[in-house]
Amino acid sequence: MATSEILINLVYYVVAAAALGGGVAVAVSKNIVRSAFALLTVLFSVAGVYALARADFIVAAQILIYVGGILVLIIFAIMLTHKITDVKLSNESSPGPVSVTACLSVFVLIVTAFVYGYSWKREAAPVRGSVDFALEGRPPVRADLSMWQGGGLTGVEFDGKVLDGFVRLKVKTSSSVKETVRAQFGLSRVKKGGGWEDLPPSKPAPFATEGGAAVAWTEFERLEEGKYEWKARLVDEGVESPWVEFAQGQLPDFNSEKGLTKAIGRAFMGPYLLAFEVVSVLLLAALVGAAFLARKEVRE
Amino acid sequence: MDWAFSRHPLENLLVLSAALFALGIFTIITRRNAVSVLMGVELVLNAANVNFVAFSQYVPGAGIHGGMFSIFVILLAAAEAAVALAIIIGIYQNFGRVDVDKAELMKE
Amino acid sequence: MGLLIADVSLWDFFHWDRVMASPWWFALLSAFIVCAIIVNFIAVYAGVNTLLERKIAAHMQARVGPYQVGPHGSLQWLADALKLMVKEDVIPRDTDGLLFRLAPYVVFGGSFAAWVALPLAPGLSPAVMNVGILYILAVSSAVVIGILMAGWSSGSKWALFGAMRSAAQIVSYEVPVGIALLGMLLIYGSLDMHDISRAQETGAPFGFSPDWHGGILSWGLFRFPPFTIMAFLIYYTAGLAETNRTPFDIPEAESELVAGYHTEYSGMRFSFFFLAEYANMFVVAAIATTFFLGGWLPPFGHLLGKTFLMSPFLEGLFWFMAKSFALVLLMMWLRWTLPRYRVDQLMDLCWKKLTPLAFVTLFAIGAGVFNRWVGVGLGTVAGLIAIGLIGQAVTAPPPEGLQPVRAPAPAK
Repeated sequence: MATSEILINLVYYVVAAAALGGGVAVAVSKNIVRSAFALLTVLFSVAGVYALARADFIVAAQILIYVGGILVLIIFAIMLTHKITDVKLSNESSPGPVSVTACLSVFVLIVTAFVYGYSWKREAAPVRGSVDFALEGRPPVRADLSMWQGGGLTGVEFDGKVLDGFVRLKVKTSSSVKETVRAQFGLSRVKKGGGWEDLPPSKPAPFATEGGAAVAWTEFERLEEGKYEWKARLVDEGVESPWVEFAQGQLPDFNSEKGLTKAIGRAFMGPYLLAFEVVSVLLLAALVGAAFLARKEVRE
Repeated sequence: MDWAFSRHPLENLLVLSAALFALGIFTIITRRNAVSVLMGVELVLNAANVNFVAFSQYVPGAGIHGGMFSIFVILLAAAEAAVALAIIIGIYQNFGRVDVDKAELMKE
Repeated sequence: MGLLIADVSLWDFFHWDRVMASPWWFALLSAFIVCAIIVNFIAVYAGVNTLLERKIAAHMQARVGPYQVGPHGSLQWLADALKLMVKEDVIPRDTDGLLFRLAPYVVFGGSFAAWVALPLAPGLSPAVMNVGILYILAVSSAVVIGILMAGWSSGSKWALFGAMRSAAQIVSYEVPVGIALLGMLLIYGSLDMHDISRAQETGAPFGFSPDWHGGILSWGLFRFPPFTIMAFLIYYTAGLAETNRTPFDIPEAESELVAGYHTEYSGMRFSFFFLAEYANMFVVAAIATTFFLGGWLPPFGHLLGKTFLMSPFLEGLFWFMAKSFALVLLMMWLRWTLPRYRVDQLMDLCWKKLTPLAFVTLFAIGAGVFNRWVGVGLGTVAGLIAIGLIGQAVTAPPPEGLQPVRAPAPAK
């Protein structure tokens, strides 16, 4: 395992342990206020999990709304529904063998049936399939070209959005390739005044076997925001195949964007506009309703 | 470690979300304090959110729709928590306690 | 894109990708070192701040303040810090042990976590985030939970009431803060604090001539006058309330009158609450600087990197710190000038005055961003109304029946 993977795994398992520990404390603790502060731990840990999954806007929304709003409400409700003199607020629960078994079986069912019984790892459709790389004096190599969000996240479809400027381009071929063949990728970007400019191509990457096929990939990181096109070629000890582009013409292959925020903003003003407006009306109704329900009854 | 998070992020997150879900269900069915039941509901909603975000980020071609849905879940959880806590405070004012087993006035 | 900001930046050294490509212990070590630097800076800064507060209070009240320790009392903060550190650690019996011990750290953690996203200099920030301002607002919510934790676990009902009032105050004033900043975000179009600072390098008021290096006129404060000025005042006032500063310091004043949420705390735990408060003050001032006063930019155009210090990085750092400290000094000045609001007046101010006003600024700035002539129109109308109101308030005759107070004649 690469040394940089160790850090991600370490952070993830610490955060997951905090989430589970907090969850257990919420479920089991005899003191309701401790339960509420364990919920704080769970909410922050879940926000940490979102951060590891590169969903940056959702991290901020989670902490702002859940911790800053819902948890404060819950703690206020706890303090308003107990007599002020109780220091050790008790929190009875009635666990029994039935509930424990039920929950354990729910957990086992979900994990075995849905997580490990179903193959979620679908290979994304290659963006351009079955292209031939012609090397001099050799039979052409037929390969598929695909784009992945860097870090092994979602595959990128044509004219899709790439977040954080972090793209992995892949050449996958089922024919056998010589040891010395490398794949090289080149990017071009739309300039500010229009027109394309070429970025320097990447270092040639060697092929490795992955599930029976030979795969070569390069990761481009810190791409600035903008529209990009890419092309690939095979290099073998100085012999280069001609560049194979994906999009011919003015179409970009992907748009690089920093983070999820712009995409979410566009979605809110696009396909999710009606839902957005309905949720705002619903929040208004909830606000009015909660203020009405919680008022002190004036006993005539 | 072939099952580690960096190799199989999706499965790890789904297991975490299943565990949080089970803990949330356990909280809902065993606790007697109404506010604790609400905390269990929040655990369940967070588990579902982790699930949505995991699928949105780690399945090829899924788009941001999982993330959008999880934002809506967060918003609706806020609205629901506000109304639920207002109701709980109303119950406290009427019954003097928020034990869910004992608030059974309609039965009589 | 501002070309003033030179290519010199520590970004290339601290970038996440390079850190991630290094051994895992190096990444953790560098994160730890960055956090240690920030914590030490907060500690020294907060300490000096306590001294400064006492000195400013003293000179405003025509006395000298601390005078014994060091020349003119300038080392008083060290003495205070040492005293707090060696004080006996008293934990009352009725408290909930774990939460009582944990609360100061949660409050401090919330304030400290916000420092990580501040744009200190061009390209320098302990963590450069796409969602900088949203992250800062989010982790400041952790402070509320810590306060509630402290108040409840102290085991005394006065602490609990103080904590609930403080929490209600902070949560209420987050609304005008958010809406005022939202109006400014419409102008900048990005949540990234560095982009926001960079966007204030060029541009004239009302969005004309986007390439003009206007210096101080390009700052956020003058983008859509008077609405951006209103947004600044709303944000600053609500920020004062967020950090429990006078005139909104009912939760702290209760510690003089009855008790506040940190009444049962002594020694080092108590000092954590104060560190957190001063750290929070700096964060509020820093956000105001970034959004309204140009961040790290000097007040004159084209001068970054060309005046003293000869380095865009150091100069940006100087200007950022100078502007933030100026706002912090303003907060201290206000503390000793204004009387305190009662709790109901405080809530009334928030919900009935600041929030509607913040919505008006949001709407007006939005209209201005959409079409700058609409912005000019609304701006002149609002400016005239404001001048009219202020003029009327200033020139109004005193209310009837008020007589100057004269001391009664001394009894013979």
